[in-house]
Amino acid sequence: MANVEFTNLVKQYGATTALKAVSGVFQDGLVTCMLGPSGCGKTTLLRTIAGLEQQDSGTIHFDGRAVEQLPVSARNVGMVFQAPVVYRGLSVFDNIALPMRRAQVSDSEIRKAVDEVLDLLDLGPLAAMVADGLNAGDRQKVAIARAVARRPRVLLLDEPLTNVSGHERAVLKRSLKRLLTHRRDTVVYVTHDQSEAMTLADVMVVMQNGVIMQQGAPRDLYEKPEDEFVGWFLGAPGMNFLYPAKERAEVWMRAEGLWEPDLRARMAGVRTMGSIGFRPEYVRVALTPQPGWSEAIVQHAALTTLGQILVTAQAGPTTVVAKHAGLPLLSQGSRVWLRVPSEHVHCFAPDGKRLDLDAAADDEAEPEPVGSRPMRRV
Amino acid sequence: MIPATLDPSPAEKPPANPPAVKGSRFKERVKDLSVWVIAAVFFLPELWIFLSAFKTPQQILAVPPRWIFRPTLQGLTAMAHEGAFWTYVFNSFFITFTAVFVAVGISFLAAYGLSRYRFRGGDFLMFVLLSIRMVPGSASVLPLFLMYTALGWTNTYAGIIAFDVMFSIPFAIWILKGYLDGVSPRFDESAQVDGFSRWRTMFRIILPQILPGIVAAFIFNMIFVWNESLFNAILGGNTVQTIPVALQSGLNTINGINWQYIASLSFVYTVPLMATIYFFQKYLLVGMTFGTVRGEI
Repeated sequence: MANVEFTNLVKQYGATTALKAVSGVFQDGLVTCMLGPSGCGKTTLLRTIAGLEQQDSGTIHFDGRAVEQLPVSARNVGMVFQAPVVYRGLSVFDNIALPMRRAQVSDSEIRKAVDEVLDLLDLGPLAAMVADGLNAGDRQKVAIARAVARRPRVLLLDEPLTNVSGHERAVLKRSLKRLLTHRRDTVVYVTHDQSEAMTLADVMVVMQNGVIMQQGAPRDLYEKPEDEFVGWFLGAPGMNFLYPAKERAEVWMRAEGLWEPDLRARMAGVRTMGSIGFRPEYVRVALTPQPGWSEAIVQHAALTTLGQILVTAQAGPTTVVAKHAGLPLLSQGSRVWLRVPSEHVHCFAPDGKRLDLDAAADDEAEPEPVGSRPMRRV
Repeated sequence: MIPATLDPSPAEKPPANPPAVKGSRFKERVKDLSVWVIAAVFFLPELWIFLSAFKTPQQILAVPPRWIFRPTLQGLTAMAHEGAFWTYVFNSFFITFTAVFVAVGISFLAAYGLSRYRFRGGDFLMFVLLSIRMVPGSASVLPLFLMYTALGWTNTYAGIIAFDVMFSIPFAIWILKGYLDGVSPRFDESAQVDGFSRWRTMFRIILPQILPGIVAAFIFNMIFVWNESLFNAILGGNTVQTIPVALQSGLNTINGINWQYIASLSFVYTVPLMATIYFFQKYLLVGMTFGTVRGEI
């Protein structure tokens, strides 16, 4: 297994730039999950590392060795695609053994390697079956097994669970988790499913528009987004955002009750604020009036699949979404009082980057009004 | 643990046999029988040939035709003792299998290229390919004969095989490209990542995915080459005659038409083709519905 290091990777398709000088390291032995909206370049980055796409410029190193000019077959990577690829007419065992047979590994070593992954993925009972007849989940397991059995330098997974549904998917996810924790391979895992990423990742990478927005431990990305986009993208739903704007002074006043007094003072010291974000799960919701809290009218409340109640409430002209397990299913029009604890409020500069309130505080402070303008969705 | 079917939603499966209605069994029988009766009318000529192969010349010409008779191998043995017969048989088998094998091989390479490397005008090229089959044989046979004479290719196996290969390729490419388009490029990529060269990917990974297509292309072209007689008669002359050509010339013997010979030869001629098709019919049916066996993706 290897460290995968890439520097200034650029890839263009005609007029669109899929990768804009992307640099980063995928560390040896860690599972890195790449998240991002469709077309953000995550799959392109994966395919470029594999060699299936040729970068326009930039370098890729596996453990310090340049591989960007090597053909796919010489890079020794394992790759699993969204649609399960199994080779027709071969048994499960032969499917997994095929790449090693080609590499002329001895039969006893092949057997040992294949048996190990068969066991880890619970494929043992199917080993002798012809692979075409299996269900999608088991076919994908075969594809994964084939990719890992020969111990490639890096394992690249491109949305491996997407084409598998329901129960099969849960089974596959469990097996995959077991395989990854057991082997400690270098894994790069592309997905658009956050819960998948949170379950599997040691390191999480969020991409947008061909740029890596943030890379780090999943918890850090979630709790301390370095960029407005990361805060918006992670979470279901993502952060609430308020956009201070000079011309909507009254909004600032009404939303004021959301913040604790000390934070209010600190925010007031910042002149150029792009947005203020906070997660729905950290919005405190009171059913009785609380002094100083922001009063809001419930517009909508619904039960989520995780058993939480999702409340959308109108605080003056500002819409706030809150998510809690303990709330009653509030009826439309009922009153609630909202407040966000200071440690869960994130401020972002107009360019979307995280803003450190104390560092950004300006001497000639003047309160900035807050307005709600449409979220910057990409 | 292993589902017996790939059907993802068992609920959509058709219900089990509907409850039997009284008298429906009889109706079914009548229906079945009438299908067979109608079919029999169409297959009478074939039946006539098959039966005639085991009749004496008098029995063949008897009016009304005799359906019950004592079968004889007289015609077949007489034919087997004739030296030329074995030449025809050899020629037919040799030319058919060589030509089709070469044609399907070339077509696989071509179809792979056409399927995987998209280029401007590719679809038009596919159309142009097929146009070679749109020219009536009677229009192209004379120019071809002149070409062959100029090149000295007449009366040679290579010449006949070259023609059959040329004529088989377009259709084979069409069949195989349909199948290859159904195999996701992820198969190619997966194989490359697994360390296979492009060449090995084609033959070790992709070829097995489209085996039914290969069989279909093989059979369709085999039927064509096995039956081809016009070009063979003219380009092949006397030395490279196949069975259909021999059948044609067998019609014009000095002592009138030798029906026994024709029936025997036709019988021997039809059986190999029917046997092949019978054994591979599952692939043939799949081949006729092209898209339906597309790969998983």
